[in-house]
Order: sequence, then C-alpha cells, then structure tokens
Amino acid sequence: MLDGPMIIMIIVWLYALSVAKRARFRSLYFWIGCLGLFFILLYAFRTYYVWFFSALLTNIVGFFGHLGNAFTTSPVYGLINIACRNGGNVILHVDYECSGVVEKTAYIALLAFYPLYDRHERMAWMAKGLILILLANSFRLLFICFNVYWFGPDSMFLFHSIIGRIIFYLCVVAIYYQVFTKPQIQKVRQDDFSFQGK
Amino acid sequence: MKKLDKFLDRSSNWLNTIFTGLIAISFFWALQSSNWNFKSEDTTIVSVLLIFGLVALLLAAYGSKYFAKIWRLIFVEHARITIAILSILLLGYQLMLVFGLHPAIGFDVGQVHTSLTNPNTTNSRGYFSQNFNNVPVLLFYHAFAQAVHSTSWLAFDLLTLVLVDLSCLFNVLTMYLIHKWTVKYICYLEITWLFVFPYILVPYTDTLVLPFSSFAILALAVIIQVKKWYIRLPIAIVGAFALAFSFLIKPSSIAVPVGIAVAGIIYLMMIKHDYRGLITILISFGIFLTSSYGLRELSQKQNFIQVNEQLEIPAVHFLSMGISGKGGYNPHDALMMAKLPKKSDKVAYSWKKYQQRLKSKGFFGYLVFLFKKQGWNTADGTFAWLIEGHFTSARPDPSKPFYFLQELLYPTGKNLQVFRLLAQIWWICVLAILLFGYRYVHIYSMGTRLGLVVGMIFLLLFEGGRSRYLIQFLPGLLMLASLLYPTAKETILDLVHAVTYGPNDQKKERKNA
Repeated sequence: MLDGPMIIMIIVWLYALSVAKRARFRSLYFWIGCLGLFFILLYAFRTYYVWFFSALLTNIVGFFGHLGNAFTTSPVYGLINIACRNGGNVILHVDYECSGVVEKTAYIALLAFYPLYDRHERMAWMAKGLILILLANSFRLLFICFNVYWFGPDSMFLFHSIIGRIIFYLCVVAIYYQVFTKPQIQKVRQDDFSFQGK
Repeated sequence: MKKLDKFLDRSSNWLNTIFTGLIAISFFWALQSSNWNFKSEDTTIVSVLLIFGLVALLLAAYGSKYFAKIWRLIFVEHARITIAILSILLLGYQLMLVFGLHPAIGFDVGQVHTSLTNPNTTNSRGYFSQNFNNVPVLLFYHAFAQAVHSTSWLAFDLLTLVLVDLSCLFNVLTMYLIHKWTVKYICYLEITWLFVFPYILVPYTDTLVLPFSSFAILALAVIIQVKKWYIRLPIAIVGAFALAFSFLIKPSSIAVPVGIAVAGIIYLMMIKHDYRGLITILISFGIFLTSSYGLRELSQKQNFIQVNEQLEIPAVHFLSMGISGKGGYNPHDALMMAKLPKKSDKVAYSWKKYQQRLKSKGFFGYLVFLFKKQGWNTADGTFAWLIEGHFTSARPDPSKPFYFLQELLYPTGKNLQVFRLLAQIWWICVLAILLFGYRYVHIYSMGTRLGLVVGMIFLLLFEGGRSRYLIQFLPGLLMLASLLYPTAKETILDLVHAVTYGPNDQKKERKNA
C-alpha cells in the first residue's frame, strides 16, 4: 500500500499543511491540501482502486448486460465481452483509467479541503458524490456496451472515445456544479459580499 | 541523592527515546506490510462487505453527529455491559475456533506433538538433543497428556485457550491494581486482540509462557501496591516460581517482568521508602534463581526421552542466524549444526559465520540491516500466521462445521486476506498508541519500556525475522498500551488539530477578522 518514500512525503505534506495553517495562508493551505491528498490517495490505494472499482463497475454493467442478453462479463479480470448483433466480437478491459478512479480521487481531494462546508456536510457530500460518479461511469459504460452491441465493432471508437466521454464529463460537471459552484454562489449572496472588503 | 535523581531522570529519557525510536521503525514498516494489499483473487463477498463497512465506519466517525454520541454511550458509559457481552462473544468465537478447526500444525510444534506419542524415535531424539531448550515444554505437555489421557490436537488447543485467557485475566487484574481507569482500555485491547489471534490453535512455547509471565507481572504489582505482608509474600513466592517456569520454557519471555522489577526496586527505594517491599522483591528474586536452577536440573534428569546433551545447539548459532538473510531461520546453518558432532565444532563454525557475515555487511550495512530487521521482527500484525515452514497443510472443507472460519485462517482459505487485514488494523492501532503515548512517564510504563527494549534488542541480535517471537511480550505490550492510551489520544488529536480547520478555528478567524 505505502512505501518508505511515500511515508516520508506524507510527513512532509502534513508539516507543510501545519505551516500553511499557522501562517493563515488559506489559499496555499487549500492547494497544498488538495493536491497532496489527490496524489497520496491515488498512490496509496492504487491496488485497491484497480481491484475494487473495476470489479464493482464490471459487476454493475454485467448485471444489466445479462438482463439484456447483450454481453458477458468477468469481474475478477475486469473484462466485458460483447458479442455484437451483426457478428464480430469486442472485449473491453476495465482498467485504471476506465474505472473513473482519477475523477473520484480528485473529487474527494477537492471536497476534503473546500472551505465552504463543515465536516458533517462534507462527509454527506462525499458519500453522495462518489455514488453519483460511480453511477455516471456505469451509465457511460452501459451506453458504450449496448451501442457497440447494436452497431457493431466499427462503432467502438465513436461511442467509446467521443460520445461516451462527453456523456461522462457532462455528468461530472453537473455534480461539480451542484457541490462546489452553486453553494458558493448562494453563500456569496447571503454574506453581503463586496469586492472592496470591509 | 541528587546525582542519583539526575542519573535516573536522564536514563529514563534515554530509555523513552530508544523505545519510541524502535516503535517508530516498527510503525514505519507496519504501514508498508503486505497485509494491507488485496488482489483480484481475494474478491469475495466478505472482503467487499468488509471494505464497505470500514469506509462507512470511517466516514461516520468523522462526519456523523450521532456516531460519537452512540460510540460514547456504548463503549464509555456502558463499558461494563459492553465488555461483558464482548467477552461472552469472544469465548464463543474461541470455542468455535478450537472445536471447529484444531488443525495439525507443522514445524517445531508438530515435532513436539509427535514426540509425545513416540518419544524414542531417531527423529525425536535427534531433535530434542539439538534443541534441548524444548525438552521442558515436551515434559509439560506430557504431564498434561497423562492427566487428560489424550494427545489430540483438540486437547492441546483447549489447554492453550485456557492459558491465553488466563493470561488476559491476570493482565486485567494487574491493571486494576496499578490504575483502575486503565481497566476498560486493557479489556478492549485484549478482547480485540483475541479476535485476531488464531495462535490458540498452535500449542507451543509462545502461548505457553503467557500466563506465567503475566502472573509474574501481577505479583510485582501486588508487591508494589499492596501493603499487607500476608498478601504480598505468598503471591511474591508464587510469582517467582511462575517466572522461573517462564524462564525455563522461553528465556527471553522474562524481559518484561524483570524490567518492571528493576523499575519497582527503584520506586520502592527512592520514592516510597518501602524497604519491606524491597526485601520481598529480593526474596522472590532469590526464589526465582534457585527454582529455575532446580527446574533445569529436573529437566536434565528426566527419563521420558533419551537425549544427548552434547549435541545441543549453542547460543552463538542463533546469533549467527540472526544476521543472515532476513535474520530468521537459516536452513543451511541448521543443517550444519546437525552435521557437526562436537559442541566445540558447532561453536567454532557459528562464530566464524557470524564474524564473516558481520564483516561483509560493514558498520553502516549492519545498521541498515538492523533497521530492516526491526521491521521483519515486528511489522506483521498476524504474528507470522502461516509464515513458518510447513505451518499446516489443512484445507477448508465445506462439510466440516465452522467452514467460514477455515476459509478465514487456512493457507488456501478464500478469506485469508480478510483476516490479515483485520489483524494488521489492530496491530497498527496498538503501535500508534505506543508511538504517540511517548509523553506518558510512570514507574510501570518505564519498567515495561525497559523490558520491551531489551526484548526487541534481543530479537534484533538473535534469531528473529518474523513477528511470532513478539507473542511472548504481548502481556507487557498491551498493558503499556492501556496505560498510554489517553496520552496517545491527546497527542493524535493535537496533531490532527495542527493540520485541519475545525469549527473552533473558523470561529477564531471570524473574531480576528
């Protein structure tokens, strides 16, 4: 999970955080905090992510695939086998990039240091957001799989690399808007904000 | 006297630094243990639920308003009821473990067990001639087998279960005598420990010494805390016998009791001026010396198994193994000990090997080796479950009762990694308490620290390499952890406050603005 250099990096990161806090550099604190946490989470839980999220995603997608009799899955290896309607076979491998790990980690890291919430709200949003991102990713993958099944292997590039991504990013932007942007705007309105300061 | 005070102050500081340093190294390696890592083959419904449960627990502990209240209600305010319920559950679990599993164990344990029924085969004679230090445990188990008319694994596992639980009871009594407020901590620590401690299935010296060294510590606490001579003298005498027995079975296991005795002598002499207590300790020390000598003589005069003491492996062999490879068992060296007939040849060979290995490592190389060896000795929270060669060849069998426990603990079990993860979580918590509780200084904590430092250095120098050898120090370790818990909690909360913005910080900032 961790290794020596990483543990030393974590200690340095914690120290930097404490310095930023004592010096009351709020923005620096936020940047050090969320960038550091992002890399630490990504690195420390890399085996878990690949193992866990790929298996989970493949299982969710496989459930619907079996329902629609469109494709079969092997969750342990993260494989989705689509036997297309018009003949031809496509095997998708759910890997690090595909399982939405980077997006989830970025979300956790941003939310953990976002100064707007108290910790109860933060935890509630974290749980909700993670589930929503997972659902968005499952929806993307289902969309790809059913369309590839329907339109054949040649449509793979179109649905996987273009439309699938657009759908996923639209979903994630919507979640980010709900969690970060909208409450911020509302808070600014409530706080009688002025650019000149007090 | 002032000079002596200064000297004691300084040495206590040094001791604390060395202890905390060693524990910090263990913590560093325990964070990197392979017990944390799941692979795709480990995906079972149990492991998935466990991970979900752990994440949910962490999120709730941090984020929920009600969690802290409920936690406090259950584990603090109704501690007695919770501990009672948990103890009953634990006992049920242990009985399930023993009655459902009791697998045949390999390595030295298997040899001792086989020799109970066939003591005079060439194998047994050869083994006990070389490893004469294991004759006492054989005799003890022989006496037990005679008493219950059974040599089954089940009987020995039940014995081990009783001994380990007895040790826990002694520990709780000790903490009751020392500081009443630590009782609930030690209860929680021991209950959680026993849930991840399958070594009750391995009847061997590691678990056999536990009640004896625990009782010795209890006797010391009685001598220091209780004034009435008719209570402390008999208990001191029994304690001395227990310590002698513990010394006979596993010499290194007396490190913690002796450490506490040293601290106790200083305390009685310098602070309490209780010279009767001091004399009691000295008397029991005398009894310990004579009885351990007597017990050694007895084990030499036994006629259960014929051994040739000339073949006994010398201590320097363990020193030379302790510096080879991972600092653990070295098959080549062990084979040479069997090949060389004379004791002097064995000593010469081991000494030569030791010097060779030391020279090839060099000064800094040896320091790096020690740094790594501390990790190999202490980082594994399962206490090297299944690590020893030929540990067990038992396989999960769906037709047997308590099949799920077999899947959890056997080498081919599907949920083995789940057990490893749980054990490692428990162990990292204990190490964290020991590490962050460094500010707590008390006569017992210093004595235990002294004993544990000696024990850990012993494992660094001699054969170690796996954390099974730590089991003998667990009574001391857990008692120390229960003493340090409040201080450790405070320090950890201070550290958390130093790096996070809590509600108080936000209020302060608003005030300042």
